[in-house]
Amino acid sequence: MEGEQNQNKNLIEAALFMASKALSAEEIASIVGIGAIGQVESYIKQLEEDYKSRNGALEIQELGGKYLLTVKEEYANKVSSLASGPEISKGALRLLAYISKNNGILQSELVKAFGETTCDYVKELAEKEFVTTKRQGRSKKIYITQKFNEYFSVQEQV
Amino acid sequence: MEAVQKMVVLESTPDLEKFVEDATWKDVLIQLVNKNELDPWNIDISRLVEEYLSTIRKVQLLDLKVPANIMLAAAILVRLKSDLLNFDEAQQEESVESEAPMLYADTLFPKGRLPPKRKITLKELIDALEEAIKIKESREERLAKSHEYIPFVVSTIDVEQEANEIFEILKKNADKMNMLTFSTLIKVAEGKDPLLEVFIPLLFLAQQQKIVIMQEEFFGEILIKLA
Repeated sequence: MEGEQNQNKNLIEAALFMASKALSAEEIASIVGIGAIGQVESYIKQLEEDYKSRNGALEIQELGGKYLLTVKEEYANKVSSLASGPEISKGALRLLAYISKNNGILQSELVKAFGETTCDYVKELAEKEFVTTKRQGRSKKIYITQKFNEYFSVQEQV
Repeated sequence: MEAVQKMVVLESTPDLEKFVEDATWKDVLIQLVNKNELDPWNIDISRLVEEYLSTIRKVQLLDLKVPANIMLAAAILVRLKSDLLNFDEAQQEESVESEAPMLYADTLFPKGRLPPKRKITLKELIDALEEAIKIKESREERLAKSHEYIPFVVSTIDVEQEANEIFEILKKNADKMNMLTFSTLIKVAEGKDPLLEVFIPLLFLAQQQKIVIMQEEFFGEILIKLA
């Protein structure tokens, strides 16, 4: 029984490593073939503890309800050249920064201020779950997500 | 010893030369296998090449198609062989050598993963905000400018009136024959632009058939006659 548990935990760790992006508990459950989400979550918690107690370079981060196996901030800068590119494109990051200062801004206002490419960037940011949109008449309001706060507040501590 | 024997057999096959000449690389291999001179699961490429070389030395005529064919065949064999190699299971393979060889290609898969995306730092976010504000301001400036009126002075000449004025001057200054030269007209119509305020009104007058304009030589004097 314990062996099986270990197997499941290892499988989840393997999934997190291979994905190299944040996965939800549901996604992990379907990948490793465990029906109970709660079970998966408890395995993830165990893994988080494992990484913490190991005190190494890696950690499991929770971002907007998803889990990401990643390099700790203090080591990230030194190895960032090995990454395949920044997580958010330059233009989209600019827009995200602006939205974060003007939470709930209308997309039409953004288009007015930054031009037509804005729509693509908003789409990118929404896909990556840094913003959510809410219809408002013929335009939509754009809000910063919980993920955004978690993503950047983690780094504020450094 | 065995290799030497086999080599002799291969050399003695009369049509090796011939089929290498015409055949595609596949035919070359199939023929060799059919003649039991090559084990299809374990082709000794170096032997094949050696045999080929000794054959080609005997061929006097140089035809590049022949070496090209055999080189392609050899290259493909090397490729196939290397694809079949499975280094992880090399030891295991040794123990089951007697069994029919298996294709391991399916079991080969990349063990790595795609490099993850780099995380965005808070500093990058702040820098991006500064950039965003700059871009917004410069855009606003540009847009504001595009709505600005730039004064563009177009001199307005009432050609009709000019024509009348010129006509009056002509009437006053025309000689007995009702004629006047353009150069005199310019002098008389002092303060008027010779081209815009004299010549063009003249064209209008001519069009209205109030005057007749004549020029006998190119670039010569223009004669104006009141109609």
